Amino acid sequence: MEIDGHNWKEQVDIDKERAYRLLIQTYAEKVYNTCYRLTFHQEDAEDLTQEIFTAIYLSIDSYKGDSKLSTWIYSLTVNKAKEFIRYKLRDKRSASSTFSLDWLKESTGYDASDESNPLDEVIQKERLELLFTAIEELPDNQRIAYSLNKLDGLSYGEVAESMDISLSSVESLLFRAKQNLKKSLEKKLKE
Amino acid sequence: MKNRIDEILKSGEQLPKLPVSDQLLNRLTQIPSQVSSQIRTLPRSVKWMLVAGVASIVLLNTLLMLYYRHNSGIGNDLSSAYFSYLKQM
Repeated sequence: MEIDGHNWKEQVDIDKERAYRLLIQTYAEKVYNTCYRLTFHQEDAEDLTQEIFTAIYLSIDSYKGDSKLSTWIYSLTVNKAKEFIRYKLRDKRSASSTFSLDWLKESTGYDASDESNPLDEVIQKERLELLFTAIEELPDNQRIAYSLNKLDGLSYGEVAESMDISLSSVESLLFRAKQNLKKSLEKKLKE
Repeated sequence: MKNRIDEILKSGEQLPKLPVSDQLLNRLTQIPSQVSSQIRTLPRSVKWMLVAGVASIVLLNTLLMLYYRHNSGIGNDLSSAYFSYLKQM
C-alpha cells in the first residue's frame, strides 16, 4: 500500500511520531528486504534498516510532499546503503561465509527444493553463495542498481529515481553489472 | 557453462520476502524517544565546551579585527609621512 505523500505531510505537521509509526507499518518490510538484498546478512540488514529509519525520522520535516513518499524513502535508503557498504560492512567478509540458507528457510519458509530433494537444496545454496559473492565484488553503484532491480524487483524508473540518476545511466549500470557478474561467475565456476 | 551462469543469476530473483522481526520493529519504534533523549542528555561538560568554543572564536575574531584595524591605521600614517614630500611638489 502506498501512502499519499501530501496527506502524510499534513500528518507530520499534526503529529510527527504518529506519522513516523505509519511509515514503519508501511515501509519497514520493504526497506529491510532491500537492505538484506544489499548486504546478504541478517544483522547488517537490521542495523542498516535502523540507520535508515533514524535518518528518516531526523529528516522527516524536510519532506515537502511534492515527490512520491516511496521515492524519498528509497533515495535515503540508497544513500545510507552506499555509506554502509563502503565503511561499515562487517570486516568485508564474503557472502559465502555469512549467507545462511537455514536462516532464510526458518524466517520465510523458503523451500529451495521442488521435490524435497536434499541435493536441490545444496545446489541452490551453492548458487546463491556464488551469486552473492559475485555481487559483492561489483563496484558500489552497479551493486546497488543490480540489487534494486533484479533482487528487489524495482523498475528501471524507480531505480533511477532512488539513485538520482538518469534512465540511460541505470541501463548502462545494469548492463555492466551483468557483464561483470557473468565474467566473475565464469571464473569462479572454472576454479 | 552459459546455462549454469543463467541459473545462478536467476536464483537471486526468486528470494522470498523476509518478515520484519518483532525485535527489529521494536528498535524502529523506539527511534523517536532515543533521538530526543540523546539531545536532552547531552552532557553538561559538552555543553560548556561548545559555549567556550564559540566564545573563544568570537573573541579571537574581535581581537584580530582590532589588531588589523590598529595596524592598518599605523600603515596609513607611515605611508602618508613617507610620501608627504609629494604634497610639496
